[in-house]
Amino acid sequence: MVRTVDCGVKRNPPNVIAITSGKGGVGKTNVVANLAVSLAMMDMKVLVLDADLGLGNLDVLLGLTPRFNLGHLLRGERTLDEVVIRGPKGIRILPAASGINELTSLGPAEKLSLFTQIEGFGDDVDIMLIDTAAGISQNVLFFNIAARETIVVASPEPTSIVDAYALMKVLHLKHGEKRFRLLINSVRNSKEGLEVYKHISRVALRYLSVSMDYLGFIPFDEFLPKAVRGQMALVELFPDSRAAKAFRDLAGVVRELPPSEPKDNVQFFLGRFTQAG
Amino acid sequence: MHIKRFRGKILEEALRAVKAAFGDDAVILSTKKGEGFAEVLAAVDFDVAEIEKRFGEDTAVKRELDGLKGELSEIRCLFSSAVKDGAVRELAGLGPGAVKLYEEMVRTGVRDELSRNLVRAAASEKGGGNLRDRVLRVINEKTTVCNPLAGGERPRLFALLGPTGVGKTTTIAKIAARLKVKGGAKVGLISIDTARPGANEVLKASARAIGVPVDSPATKEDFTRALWKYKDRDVVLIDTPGKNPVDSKAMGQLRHMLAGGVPVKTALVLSATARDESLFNACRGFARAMPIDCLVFTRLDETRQAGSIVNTSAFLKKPIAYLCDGQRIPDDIRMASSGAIGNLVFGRGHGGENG
Repeated sequence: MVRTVDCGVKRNPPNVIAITSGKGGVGKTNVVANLAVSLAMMDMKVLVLDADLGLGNLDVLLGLTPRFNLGHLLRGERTLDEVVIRGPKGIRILPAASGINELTSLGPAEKLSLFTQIEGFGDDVDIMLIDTAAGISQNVLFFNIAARETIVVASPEPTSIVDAYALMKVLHLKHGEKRFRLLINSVRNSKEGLEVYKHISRVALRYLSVSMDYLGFIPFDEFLPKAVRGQMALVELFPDSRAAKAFRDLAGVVRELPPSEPKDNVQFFLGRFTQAG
Repeated sequence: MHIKRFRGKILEEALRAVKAAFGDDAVILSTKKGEGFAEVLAAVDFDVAEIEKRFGEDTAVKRELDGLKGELSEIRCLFSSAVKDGAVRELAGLGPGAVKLYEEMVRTGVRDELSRNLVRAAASEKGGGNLRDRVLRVINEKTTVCNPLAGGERPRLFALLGPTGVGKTTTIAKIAARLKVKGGAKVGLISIDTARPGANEVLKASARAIGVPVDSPATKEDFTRALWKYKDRDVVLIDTPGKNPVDSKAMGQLRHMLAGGVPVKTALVLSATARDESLFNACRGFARAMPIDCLVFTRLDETRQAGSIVNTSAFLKKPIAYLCDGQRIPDDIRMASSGAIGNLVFGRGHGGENG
């Protein structure tokens, strides 16, 4: 018999952060993996949802071999406990489905199933990161609006800047998203990171009414490809590297993000589905 | 947005170029001036339709992409397996999905080499269907099933052997109840598990509940007498004490009891939750003591690693008779069927037909 004691103190629901990029190949999944492990090193209970439905490879990046994936969960063939695997430093990973057609949008039943299943984690999660696919497919947009925060990862390449902007514009115009946090990856130095942020935010300020916060930068690091080949998180394998330090700083900032205003739509961990039922 | 660098001899010239290309709406991001040269980085907005075009919302492109992603996911599988096993590369050449099927089987617990062989055999199989269908057919061919109670003289004698604690007695009760309820057959039970005090009480209680007679002979002579007593029965089911397969003395006692003249069909009862190594050990030990006709797997409800069934059947080269998946008598038993095993391997639940 479980006894619940209501002592009037309500725990904040876990923060849910979508990490997205518009363009592929900017190192988004690496950011997710290293941010997750860094947060876990700060004793946070981290859940990562690999939402790159067609082609998630967070598991490969971390050298894990999941038996089941999001597809099994969505089809109701496996429970959340069976699908979720443990990664480095105890992070929990909900692996992407390689069998799902990424270009088919999730249906209402699948979305509902996902929300209720994730809800089941309740107090056991402090923070949830969602690794979205590249592009602006319906699924990418869905995961972004279902999160409470959106971190847009861009690299200094013009194509990445343009795609990051495009993604934010679609999220703003079609889904009313107003707040984005920008992380610039693979920069030579802090000056370059800030410059890229200024370029994007200046254009956004001119054409869109969104607020864009600069979350920081991750420097280009020759140890990163080594960690990728070793199928381990950089922060674990090369904790003294420049990028590892930047990931730890980033984790410190992300951990302290103030609870944001709830949005109008359904979101992870805000319990609206379960309360309605 | 569009972003572009404009150059000119002087700043005004570069700015004119910006206006000509982007119009009055352009945003100047940065300017750079030098001796006889100027550079402006400018951006201009684009509308949502243009964005969608940029991201290829066109359906033809989508289909193309879809195919590509399939290939990529295949490569991904190949990569993650290749780290563990170079031989997987060979599978990739066998056709789309080969590596994935192999991985799926390995994850359900089918042994690495066996998985590879099954995919290989499927690839060279002549029948139709996609590779998955063909793998299923190959599994069905290799993992045969049987009904140990079909044909032969009456009474049909069927003994269940196996390591301790695999659920022999429960399985006997299930078979007996099923025969009586479904087929109206006359069933007799014999327990030769008399050495341990109280060992056959469970069977006796089940027999009472089902309404079938039970006998528990202590010696070979008593056993023969019990068989004689049951001469008008359709089926006689024999429960044996759980034995350690590496204990040759225990194996000898079992052989002594069952051997000699009477045509007893034997099933080796194994738990699907056991590791391959202990399953193979049991096969070796029992098959050395006496001929084994078929296999029975219990505790399918407690494992997702149904691959051990295929591994064991391939190891012993004997058909599978029953699959048991729970405590309920007689509901939680199925006759193994062609097709059921393949479904187990590919995670479609505890397949099988009622028997």
